[in-house]
Amino acid sequence: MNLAELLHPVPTSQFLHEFFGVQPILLRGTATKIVASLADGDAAIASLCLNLAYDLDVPVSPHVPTTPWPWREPVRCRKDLFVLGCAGDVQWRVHGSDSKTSDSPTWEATLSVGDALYLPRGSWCSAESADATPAPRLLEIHNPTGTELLHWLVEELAAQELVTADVPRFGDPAAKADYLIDLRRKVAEAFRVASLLERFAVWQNQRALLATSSPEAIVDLDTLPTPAHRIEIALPRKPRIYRRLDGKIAFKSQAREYSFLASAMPVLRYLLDHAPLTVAEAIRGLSADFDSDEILAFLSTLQRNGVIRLIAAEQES
Amino acid sequence: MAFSGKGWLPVDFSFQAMPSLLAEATVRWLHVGDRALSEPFMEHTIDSVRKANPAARLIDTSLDTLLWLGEKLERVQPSGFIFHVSHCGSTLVANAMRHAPGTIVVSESRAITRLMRPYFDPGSVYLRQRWHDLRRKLIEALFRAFSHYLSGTPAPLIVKFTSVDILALSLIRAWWPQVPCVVVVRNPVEVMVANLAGGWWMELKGKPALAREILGWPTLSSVDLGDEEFCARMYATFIDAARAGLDSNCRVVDYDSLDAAGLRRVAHYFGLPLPDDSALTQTFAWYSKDADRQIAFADDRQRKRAMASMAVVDAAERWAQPAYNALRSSLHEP
Repeated sequence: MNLAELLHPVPTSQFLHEFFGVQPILLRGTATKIVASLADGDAAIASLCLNLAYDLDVPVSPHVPTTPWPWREPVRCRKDLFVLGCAGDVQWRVHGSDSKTSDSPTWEATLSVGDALYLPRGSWCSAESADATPAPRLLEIHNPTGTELLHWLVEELAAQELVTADVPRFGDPAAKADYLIDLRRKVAEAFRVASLLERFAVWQNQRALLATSSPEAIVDLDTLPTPAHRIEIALPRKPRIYRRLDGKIAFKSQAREYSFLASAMPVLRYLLDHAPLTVAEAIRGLSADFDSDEILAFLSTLQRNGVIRLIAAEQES
Repeated sequence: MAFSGKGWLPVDFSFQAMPSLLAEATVRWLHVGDRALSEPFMEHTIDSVRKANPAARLIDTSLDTLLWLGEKLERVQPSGFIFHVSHCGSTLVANAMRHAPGTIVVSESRAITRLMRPYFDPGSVYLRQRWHDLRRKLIEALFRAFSHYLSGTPAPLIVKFTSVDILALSLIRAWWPQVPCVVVVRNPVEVMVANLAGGWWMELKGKPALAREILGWPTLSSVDLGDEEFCARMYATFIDAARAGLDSNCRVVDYDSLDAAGLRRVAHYFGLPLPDDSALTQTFAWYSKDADRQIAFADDRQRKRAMASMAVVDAAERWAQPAYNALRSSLHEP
């Protein structure tokens, strides 16, 4: 299951631009399948976290709140949360998102089994249910904050001599004042770069690691893909592809560079655009560009390099 | 978070060398507030607000941000398109359209050219279609952003393309067949003389790979051609592209007919009300590309023809004039 499926019928772009970080949204019945699978363990939750991290471009992890359940008094969400309704009906209320709670709820809805609820970071939330109703499953979205941006920027600036130079502890007043002015100018210049946030996003994307080990349902790496196999992207984040000076295309993931001949781009792009999909669907979608043997060979290469995983139909949960 | 696009203009894309192969890019946005695009070119406005104190805010975003804005804003049907062959009076036409109350004239947007100029084929049916679809969505989003930036509600929009965008005329017409379109042309000798003096055409000549990619000449190398032949062939390529894309909602306007009455006909064709003649007459007072309005307008047709060398005349006669004549034979002024 991925973000689009969890949000359905709300388009991902609408969720990201209108709800994410802004307001709660209740998604009726979109988590039914995943909640049903919980009886067999948490593999489906782990897989959902991986897929959400890929789609949202930030880490997502299961969250166990420190506040005992149920939340009769408002509790502040320290991160953006997805709440999965696992048992009974729970009345969720949001009491504002400022530093203080509001007396009356600003938003409320009943979360039933199979529903999903998105709560923006900073929301004060309470949840009312029958006493025996177990706690819902929470997924925490680790959206980067200004603190992380500043840490990254310090690393970026550290390449500059002025920044790594000694602080003039014993300098005269003029030397100390000039030092601060120069340093301030360097920092201000960095913040004037229009691409700063995009570069930060790329840096985060490229160094992201898989949060958990891959699901067990991966076929043996020596098994050749068959039309019935399902293809999933095995990378932690959407790769940002670029062209190298040698003409190859490449992307960085998990602090490693993956490179391919430019002729492989149609297959790679098709998979990134359409996964998860079956091998048969990939062959059909790319039939104007490649024959099936070429596609199968490339899929094997991608699998061996950990870019995709191939899942046999009978192994799917 | 509710971003309406008000005050913000998408001004450029950072596509990689072959966007049809690698469409990853960012969009550069400039905050111009409620400032009108009153300069002859969008780049002039951008320079002006960037040099102001405090300088206008700039930010790069993903393509998704522009696409989302495009989905969010009301669909826009531009009031008119202006294509041209360079140094042919198209800026004068665009300047005149600015007199129509409430009309936004986007003149030679770098973002549009970055999107619409020809690129090397990616050699893949899938990637070609994907790039086609992405361009369609992005230019639609650009038009919506341009039309809404002043007030958050759509204003009449005139898009004056760069000269090289004429190579995408067929595509633009296929996407917006109902939008009235004028193609401004001029005698090839006059156009060539202007371009031989320097500027983008001659810069392109010095970049053979880029020239091959943009002009689609399979066997010719721009550096092997004389300047005059290069300009004449480029002119013909532009005119041929225009001829291939003309439809019943297109009109060809020749520089020779660009007087006040001619401009008024273009405005009428676009459905734009122009004020009385005195306001329009101001358009002729200054050189159309002079943002500071310091250089007085002068009819330079005779001067340009007098400046033309025999090589220019011969090259024009051989490569450019047939295309120009063919277009003029189908000339249909508004």
